[in-house]
This record gives sequence, C-alpha cells and structure tokens, in this order.
Amino acid sequence: MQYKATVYANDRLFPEPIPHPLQQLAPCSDRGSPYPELWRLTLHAPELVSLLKPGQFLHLLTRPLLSHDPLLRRPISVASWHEEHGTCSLYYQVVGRGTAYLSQLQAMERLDLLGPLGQPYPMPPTGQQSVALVAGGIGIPPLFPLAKTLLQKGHKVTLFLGARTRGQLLMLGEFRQAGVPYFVTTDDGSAGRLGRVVDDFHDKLLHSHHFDYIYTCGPKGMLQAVQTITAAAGLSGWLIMESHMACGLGACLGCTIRVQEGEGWRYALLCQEGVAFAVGEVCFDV
Amino acid sequence: MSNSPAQAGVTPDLAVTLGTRRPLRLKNPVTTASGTFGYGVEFAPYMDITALGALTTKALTLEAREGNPGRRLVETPAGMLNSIGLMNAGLEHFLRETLPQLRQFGDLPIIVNISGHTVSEYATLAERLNQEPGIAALEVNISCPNVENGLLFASLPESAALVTRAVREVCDLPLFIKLTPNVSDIAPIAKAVEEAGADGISLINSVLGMAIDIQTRQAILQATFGGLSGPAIRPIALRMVYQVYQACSLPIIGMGGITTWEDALEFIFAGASAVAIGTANLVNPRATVEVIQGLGEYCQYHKVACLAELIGAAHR
Ligand SMILES: Cc1cc2nc3c(=O)[nH]c(=O)nc-3n(C[C@H](O)[C@H](O)[C@H](O)COP(=O)(O)OP(=O)(O)OC[C@H]3O[C@@H](n4cnc5c(N)ncnc54)[C@H](O)[C@@H]3O)c2cc1C
Ligand SMILES: Cc1cc2nc3c(=O)[nH]c(=O)nc-3n(C[C@H](O)[C@H](O)[C@H](O)COP(=O)(O)O)c2cc1C
Ligand code: FES
Repeated sequence: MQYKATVYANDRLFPEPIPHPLQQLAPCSDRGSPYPELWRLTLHAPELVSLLKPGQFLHLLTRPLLSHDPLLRRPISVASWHEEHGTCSLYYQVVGRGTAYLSQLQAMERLDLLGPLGQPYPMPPTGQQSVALVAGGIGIPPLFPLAKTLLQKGHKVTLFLGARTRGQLLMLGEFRQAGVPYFVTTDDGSAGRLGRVVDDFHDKLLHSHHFDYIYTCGPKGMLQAVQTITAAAGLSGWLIMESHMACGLGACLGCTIRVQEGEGWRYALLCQEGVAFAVGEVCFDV
Repeated sequence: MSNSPAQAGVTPDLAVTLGTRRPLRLKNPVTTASGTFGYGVEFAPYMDITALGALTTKALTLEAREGNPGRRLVETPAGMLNSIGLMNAGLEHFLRETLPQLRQFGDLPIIVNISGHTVSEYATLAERLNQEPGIAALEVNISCPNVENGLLFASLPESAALVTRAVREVCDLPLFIKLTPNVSDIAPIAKAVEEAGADGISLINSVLGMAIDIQTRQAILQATFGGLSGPAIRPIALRMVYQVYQACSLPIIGMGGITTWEDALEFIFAGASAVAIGTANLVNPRATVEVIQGLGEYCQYHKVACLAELIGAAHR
C-alpha cells in the first residue's frame, strides 16, 4: 500500500471541531477501589463536565505540584458524569507510576486536568437500530456513557462484556440499572460463560442475534478479532483505540496509528481523530 | 507566580533584539521549540498565542514525510524519548494551507524550522521561503542525517558550514542554525556556522537516547534510538549555551528542558538572547505564557528595566 500525505496536525478532517477543552484543577471528591485491582476516581469539575460527550477522555497530571516527574499526562476515559453535581468518574487499573499516584490521592486533593479531549463517538446512522457493544476489562467503562446515549436515542443495545474474573466485571450494576441487556464472559469461568468475550459475540452474531452496528473497546488483540469478525459479517461500527500520547492536543504527532485510506494508508493522530476508528480502517501491524 | 511578588513600578521591557545585520526583534524572549507547539492553533483554547515573542513551527521538508512507524514516544525519568521522524505535509502544503493560517496571528514573528536530506534540499526550501511574506526568520535544523554520508550535518564543523553557506546564498531572512548536543565539542561547530554567515544559533536539539523493554528484550522505539527532551536534559543544554556564548558572538536561542521562568532565566544568564519552550508545552499548554509572566515579574521585583541587560550575566 502507498503512503498518502493527507493528515497533519493542523488539518481538520472531521466535521465538528472538538468543543474547546479546559485546563483546570479539580478536587477528587471520591476515591476508592470498588473492585479488586481496579480503582475509581470521582472529580469535581463542573465547567469541564458540562462539555463532556461519550467517548472523550481526560488528560491527568499524575504528580505532585511543582514536580517534574512523572513527566507526561495520563489519558483516562470518562466512565460517567453527573451534570448537576458537576462530577465525573473514571475507572483505572494501576499499571505504573502515574496510575499508582492516582491510587494514592487523598480525598479533596486537587488534580490538574485537561479535557474533554478526543472526538465524541460517532453515532449510528438512522436505521441502524440494533447495536452491539463488545467490551473487555478496563475497556468496559468507556462504553457506559455511550450505552445510555444510544438507549435515549431509541436504539436497541446489547452488551457483551468480558473480564479475567468475576470481581473485575466493571459497572455491571450501572448497566443493569440503565436497562442494558448483557452477556458475561470470564477467563476463569467465575461468572457467565467461560472463555473470550469475542467468541461469545461471534457465536451470537452467527447463530441467534441480529446486529446492525457495533462498538468495541478493550485490549488490542480483542479489537483486532472484533474487526475481523465484523468486517467479515459486513457490519459497520467503531473500534476504540489506545496509543501512547504526550500532548493529547495534536501538537507532538506522537500518538499515530496506521489507518487505511482508499488504496493507500496514512498515519492518523489518535488524540485528534480518535479515539474511535471505523471497523476495517485500522492496520494492526504495528 | 506567587513566589515572585510583583511590585508597583514601571513595566519592565522584555523585548530583545537578536543579531545586528538582520535584526530579529521580539517583544519578549519566549518562543516555542520546533515540533512541540504544532502550528499554534492547537494551543489557542488555552492561551493567547499572540502573547509569544515568536512562534517556531514544526520541521518543514521539501516533500511530505509520513514520519516513523511504530511507537513514537517513551516516557523516561523527568523526560521523554521521541522518534516522530519529521512528520510534515511538505513545502507546497505549508505554503498553501499553513502559512496563511499562521499569518492570522498578526504581528507575531513566525520562525520556520526547515530540514533536509541534502544541502540542495535546504537551499531549495530557503530560497522558496525567502519569497514569502510573513516569515520572520528561518531556523535550520541541521541535526539530520546527510543521505550522502549518513552523518548528521551538525556533527562536523565542515558540514555544518556547508549547509549554512548554501542557505545563506539564497536567503536574506535571519538564519538561526539549530545545533545538536550529540557532538564531542560544540564550540568549533558554532564558530564554523558563524563564519559561514549564520545570524544566530539555536540549541539544543534533543539528546540521542534509547529505552529497552525488559519483557521483549528489544528497543521500545521501532527506530531504536530517539531524542531525549524535557527537564532531564536541561543541565546539558545550559552548559552548551554557556559554551557557545563564549565561543562566538552570535545571538543564541536557548532550549532544552525549560519548564518554568526560573529555568528560562538560567539560560538567559548563560547567554541566551531568547529561549524556546519545548516538551513543557506538551504537558502544560500554558507553559510559554507562564514563563513570560514570570520573567516580567522577576524584572519588576529586581528593578531590571530591560530584560536584555541580563543576557550573559553569568559570564560577567
Ligand atoms: C484514550 C485513552 C483512554 C484510556 N482510558 C483508560 C481508562 O479509562 N482506564 C485505564 O485504566 N486506562 C486507560 N487508558 C490507559 C492509560 O492511559 C494507561 O494505563 C496509563 O497511562 C498508564 O500510566 P502509568 O504511569 O500507570 O503506567 P506506565 O507504564 O508507567 O506509563 C508510562 C508511559 O506509558 C504510557 N502508557 C502506559 N500504558 C498505556 C496504554 N495502555 N495506553 C496509552 N499509554 C500508555 C503512559 O501514559 C506513560 O506515558 C487509556 C489510554 C488512552 C490512550
Ligand atoms: C515531540 C517532539 C518533536 C520535535 N520535533 C522537532 C522538529 O521537527 N525539528 C526540530 O528542529 N526539533 C524538534 N524537536 C526538538 C525540540 O525543538 C527541542 O530542540 C528539544 O526537544 C529540546 O527542548 P525541550 O527539552 O524543551 O523539549 C522535537 C522535540 C519533541 C519533543
Ligand atoms: S499529537 Fe500529541 S498526543 Fe496526539
């Protein structure tokens, strides 16, 4: 495939500009660990919350004031928010220094936030009634605001969610309360079906369920499998991707992923065009 | 800036003039380091772009470059490695789309950073940009491999001078040659570009480094090596600015890890006439304006009428 020189930081390829994000210091009003090895953080940031759309992320400075280290911000998706209270909640996994810092925040300690960043998830075209959400592990929470919006817009939503073990099935209660039917899979069989969430989705897609559209968020291997399955089934939808970021603003050109375009390919900036990419578009070779 | 309480009195003059033959006058000494500020628009939600002393753009090459494959960023202690690979849309796109956008910032001086594989590529770029209105200066990034011998142009005095001379011949704009810290002695290189007709020197570019994934036992960056930037490199950059100030009489745009106004002052005392904020923008989009504000408050507090008086103070 040929490289196509099309996308650069200052080109606005997408229809709607990102609403002007904010930088603010937000106190954390709730912090804790409702799930083993997974953490929740609730932040009070009314101006920022009033701008949020499903699919956007916050860029958090995970270090003490005046410190230089760890240097870069950490991107974390917004899992839910409450406009009247001016709060939003994030779920995260402690995997390194930045997330370890978050897990040690004291209540009311303030965090430097940038956001909302990234494009809101594109909505299904009219007529695409039945929507499947396929989520794995820490990829579950980013789909919760989307599920609520899809329901409000009158779509039929089915959630496939998978995790290593029962205790890590994030936000199950919230999805239940919102009225989203779901199928559970765990790696160890401690809840729902034993095995991979992708296989469960594939089975239902082939044998018992009709879907018009999909969204998926989770580990790279899972996204790749879902892309293969849905592309083969002729379904459209979106993969919710990750990449290593510095600025989150489209300035450093560090967060590229390779996407197909026509007969060729190009590098897309995840923080500007993403974080959702169309099924069939992503090249998983890097 | 609570630790530099402003006092009543006259507003200090932060303006600096770089060079004499082709003077580049800036209303304050703060610009952006190439590649860390996009083309400015990305930062407009967070700050007033026109408050900058100047805006330095991302590397521009003759043809579009897609940049490097694979992972491009690794965080390191108080720093980061990047291997972006000069990703940019090329000269024609720049002239058609980007430059008109940059002109919307009015009087803000625009410093265009250029890169090439060959001496003639640099010359072609400079010749073309020389005809365009709205460009205040060129910053010539010579920390690129010369395809003819694989060495960086900036690594030897002879090749550094060769590029400088070629660009000088075709271009009347102020020329700032951007040097790499990855050399054993910076002084002869600075002298060589001075003799070849440069109007100033920018330094430092990022420091060559690497990181290895202990699981895969392989380099994390697909390009193996990357450029280290951020606070981690600041002492190296400061030392080199100090050395270049001693070695030649060209004005210096100092950069490397500058994050706060205190950092910027160190560079000015070491001999920088202006400073560029790089990696700090990627973490705090207001870094530049906070530095400008801090410099003003420092001058006011210490009753410095003109910031330019402070340039090179550490040598006196
Ligand atoms: C758009 C987006 C949304 C995300 N949402 C969530 C979420 O809701 N919950 C959650 O737990 N995690 C989420 N992640 C992953 C999260 O950003 C990383 O786990 C986190 O940055 C790790 O930081 P650390 O300091 O703990 O780890 P370290 O490994 O010490 O981090 C070192 C560097 O690598 C980067 N990094 C490490 N892992 C990742 C990763 N998976 N993706 C991108 N950069 C990474 C860090 O940002 C940092 O720059 C998201 C990532 C992206 C890109
Ligand atoms: C993401 C990134 C991209 C860069 N791109 C360029 C570039 O295109 N041209 C250039 O001359 N320098 C480039 N640099 C180097 C910076 O301009 C600067 O010289 C260096 O990073 C040191 O300053 P800092 O520590 O303040 O970032 C880049 C640096 C970073 C971090
Ligand atoms: S361009 Fe800097 S993170 Fe996307």
